[in-house]
Amino acid sequence: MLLFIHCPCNCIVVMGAGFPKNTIMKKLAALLTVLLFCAAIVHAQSIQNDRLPNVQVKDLNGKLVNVNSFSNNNKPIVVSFWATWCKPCITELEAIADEYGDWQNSSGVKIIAVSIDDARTSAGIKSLVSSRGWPYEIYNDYNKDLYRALGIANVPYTLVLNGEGKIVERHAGYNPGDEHHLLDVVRKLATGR
Amino acid sequence: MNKRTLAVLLLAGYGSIAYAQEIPGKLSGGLESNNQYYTDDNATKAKAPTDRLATNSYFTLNYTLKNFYAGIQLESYLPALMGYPEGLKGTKLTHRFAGYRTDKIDITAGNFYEQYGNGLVFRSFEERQLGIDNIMDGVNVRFTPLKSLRFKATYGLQRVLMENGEGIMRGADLELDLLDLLKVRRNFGITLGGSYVNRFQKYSGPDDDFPRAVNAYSARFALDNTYYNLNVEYVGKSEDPNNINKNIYRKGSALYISQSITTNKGLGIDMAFRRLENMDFRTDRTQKDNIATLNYLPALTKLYTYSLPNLYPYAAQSMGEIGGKADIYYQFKRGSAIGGRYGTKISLTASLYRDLDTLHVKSKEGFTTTGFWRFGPTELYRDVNVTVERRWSSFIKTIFSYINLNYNKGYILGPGYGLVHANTAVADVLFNFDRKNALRVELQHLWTADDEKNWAAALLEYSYAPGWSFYVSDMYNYQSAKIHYYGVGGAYNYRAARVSLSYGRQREGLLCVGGICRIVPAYTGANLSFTYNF
Repeated sequence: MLLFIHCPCNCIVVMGAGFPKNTIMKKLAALLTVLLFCAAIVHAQSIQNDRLPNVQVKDLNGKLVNVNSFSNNNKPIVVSFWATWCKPCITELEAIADEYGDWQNSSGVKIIAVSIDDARTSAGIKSLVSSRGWPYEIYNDYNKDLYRALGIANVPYTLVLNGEGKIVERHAGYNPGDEHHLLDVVRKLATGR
Repeated sequence: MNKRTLAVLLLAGYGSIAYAQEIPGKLSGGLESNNQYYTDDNATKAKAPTDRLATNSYFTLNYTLKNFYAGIQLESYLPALMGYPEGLKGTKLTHRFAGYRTDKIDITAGNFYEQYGNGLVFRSFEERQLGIDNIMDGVNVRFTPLKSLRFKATYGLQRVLMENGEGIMRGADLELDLLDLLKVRRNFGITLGGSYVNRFQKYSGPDDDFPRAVNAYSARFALDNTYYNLNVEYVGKSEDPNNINKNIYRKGSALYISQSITTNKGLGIDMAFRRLENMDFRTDRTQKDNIATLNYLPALTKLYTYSLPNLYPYAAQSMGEIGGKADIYYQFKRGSAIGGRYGTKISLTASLYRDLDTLHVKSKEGFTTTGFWRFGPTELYRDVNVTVERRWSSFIKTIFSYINLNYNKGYILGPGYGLVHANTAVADVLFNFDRKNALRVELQHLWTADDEKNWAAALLEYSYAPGWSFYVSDMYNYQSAKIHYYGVGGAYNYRAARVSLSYGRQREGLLCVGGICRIVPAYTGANLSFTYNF
């Protein structure tokens, strides 16, 4: 479905400059162009290293914390975007919680769960987390400043930071079993193998 | 659509791997594209539009260099998907902003999102699935001279569909952590806050006393402790004759009280109470639905993730509602008799909303209430939900859920409907065959003698980690219209990219995301979606 083309030069895509109405083929062509454009960025970005932006989120007591300050003694960090109303997010964080002891022993990883709950549901974050006993650092991106700065479209969404705080892996969505893949990535970072 | 020159998605130098490391600063952003192909459907009477293809696309690009940041968002509706506001059309650079941010000060010029307190007086936000984007266009300042003293000042116009509206908004918000400020050390914290918002909109009608300016004030208080949090906010609003309140000259108010109690023994409780009276607040008094809203009034009820209980979602009544919600979460510990090896989680939720007890008056005020705390005669919504979640082994996990609800469909959706009393049972079973293959089976049944009578629904979802997932689903109102609302689809995730393709029948109804809803028409067709971020 997607063509992963190599894009060695500057990517410039002009979509649909004034094409006539109701021309399905032209629309499809425009759509395809966009998809190709995206595929090109996928390829280009796969080697990109970046840090978290300079944005503040709230901790569970409403205090502002800059995400720049996320640290784990040069060990990897997993940043998981979730919400109290997002079922696959909770399934993912539950699945990791079941194995978290092993994760920490083998990689020293820290999980930071950033909820995007707004004023409607943010009051439920603390009660949900405490009842489930999740051993994670929890924050609330109440104005979605971080979520937007990273260009994320939907939760669940997972980032892996290496020991230097650089984003080395991004993953949209969650399928059961994704946590094993995540653990492999984190272990590799921790052991350098 | 028209012959406008369209977007240039230009990433100068960015696609070039060889030079990527040499650009100063950092680029990030994302692309989301939803494409729908419509077909006619005799069963649901869904009619495809003359242009059978519709596309909503969003492209954002953010640039940061040390403390400086800037960004754009391009949107195109070629044309908009069915059910989106009609005014969303064409292609346009809808956001552009630049700013400077340190830990002490953050200044944005151009487009920005902001929220004061709980959003009861002001919140601008985007919810693409609902076609909502009430972003501001002006200047926003967040000033934090001390960690315990936070000040915000805002002014600007607000986006209305593809343009800026004519209403002007100005506001300020102050929040302070009292004990920190007084350097008193306690095992709890106290936060005080207050907001002020002024909206001015021109008026050319016959009434000389018409309030062109509307003022809203809010005061809030929060108490935070390891095991207890209390959050109270009260809002008063001056007379604001508008389309929704049928141009009455009456003040508005809102009270919100939320508490949460947590323990380290597996128990968590949160409760919320809210009373709204004449609180519709927009930069444009002539707008309705989700357009040009200044404040955020979501439905404070549990957000169900299953399709059948979502047939009857509550929508907040800005003109008058009183009620609340309670959630109780409990986990039977791992290793205990009931908990099993992985722990058993139980959640209990209940909510109740009624209208206000009001009396009609002949003056321009429209109505009065008989008492602030008085519950009105009409029940709007009530639900009780029990959910039990348990993983039995590494192979199988189950979730069982039961929901009993009363839904005043006539009040929420308009005349022509009545009350709905419904019971719903859900069984959700996840089989993890191995580290990669999993199957999720969802069976639901809804019993009701009202509306469209009983419903049955089923879903099968197969996934192959880390990339692939496929589903087939059906919803069937077998005692009334006997229509199968089927769906089939698949998705592929690769790193930050996600592509999904589906085909199915969509029922006409209320689509809700995060407690804000919009009416979607019935349609049948195929959908291709793509999201990517970097």
